[in-house]
Amino acid sequence: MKRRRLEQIFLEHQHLIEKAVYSQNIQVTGVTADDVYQEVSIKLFKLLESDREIENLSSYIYRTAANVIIDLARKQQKHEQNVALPEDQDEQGTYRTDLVSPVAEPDRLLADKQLQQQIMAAIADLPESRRVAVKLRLQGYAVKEMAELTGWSFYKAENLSKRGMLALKEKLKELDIDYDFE
Amino acid sequence: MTLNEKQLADLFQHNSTQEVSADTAGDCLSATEASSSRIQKAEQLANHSAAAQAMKLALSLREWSQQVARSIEQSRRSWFSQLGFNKSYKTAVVTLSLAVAFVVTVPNLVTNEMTIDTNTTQSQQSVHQNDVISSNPFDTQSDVLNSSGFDSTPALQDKLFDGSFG
Repeated sequence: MKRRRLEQIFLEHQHLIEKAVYSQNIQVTGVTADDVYQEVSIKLFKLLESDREIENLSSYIYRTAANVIIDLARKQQKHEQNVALPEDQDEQGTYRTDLVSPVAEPDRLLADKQLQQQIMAAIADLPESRRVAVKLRLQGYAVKEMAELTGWSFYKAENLSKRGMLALKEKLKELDIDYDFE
Repeated sequence: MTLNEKQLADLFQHNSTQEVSADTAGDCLSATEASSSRIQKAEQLANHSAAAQAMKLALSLREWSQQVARSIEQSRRSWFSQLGFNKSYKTAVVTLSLAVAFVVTVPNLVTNEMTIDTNTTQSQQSVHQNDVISSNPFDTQSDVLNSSGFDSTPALQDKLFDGSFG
């Protein structure tokens, strides 16, 4: 297959990537649709040129795209951590790197480092399956996405998420934190 | 102190900075069923806020991957397969048709070849009859070239013969 044809195919289905990105309002700093096209097309073109037999091409493309996106996001985050902008420098000359972080800063009430560590420890203390479900939920994953990522059934993912949050609530109560979840 | 889910999520995301390898995402999507290793990889992604957000984006590209794969496969297939001849019964029909066409065409070709051969011989004969050079024999008395010779010319008139380099 010629590279031009592959580019044409990518162009034909470009709307699906845009639909996926904009309809779900997912914002991943440093990852653009163009970057994804570019990286995935290079990998795919090499594969098609080699005439290697791929049993499930759709799955291969899906996995390749996922790896490319994760890699781009990791690189971007590293870059942001390494390069602090001059305007983020305070009067003492230290950089306030948290301002350029893509992750929202927690509420000032939770700025207490010790308290943050205690909450993180409470999450880490949960049994494995519930812990993973809680972490994914706190990262904003819907039950369906959780199931797709882990291989659990929808009902199992939903159950683990609910039970995990209840277990976390009990642990936070021990820390005098009243946690109110929907 | 009271905490809501949004505050807890912000806190967790702010503290999720553990390193994750690039191929973790693909490994999570390749397995068909939940396994211990897959759950661990999913947790690795959840421990890195940027990777977790990127993975959400990747999950939404399933439909795109399927469409692109379908187009590539269609493009790679030969015209023969595209017409549906890859099915065995259709291949048999095509083979039979080709055999019939062969049986009908070959005798016609042979007959045509023979006609062409006859025509060629006839035209060669007519050319031979009109050819002036071919009709004049060389080995008779009328052949001027044959009767001429260099030795009969007087040597005195032959300038080349008399010439010298010295």
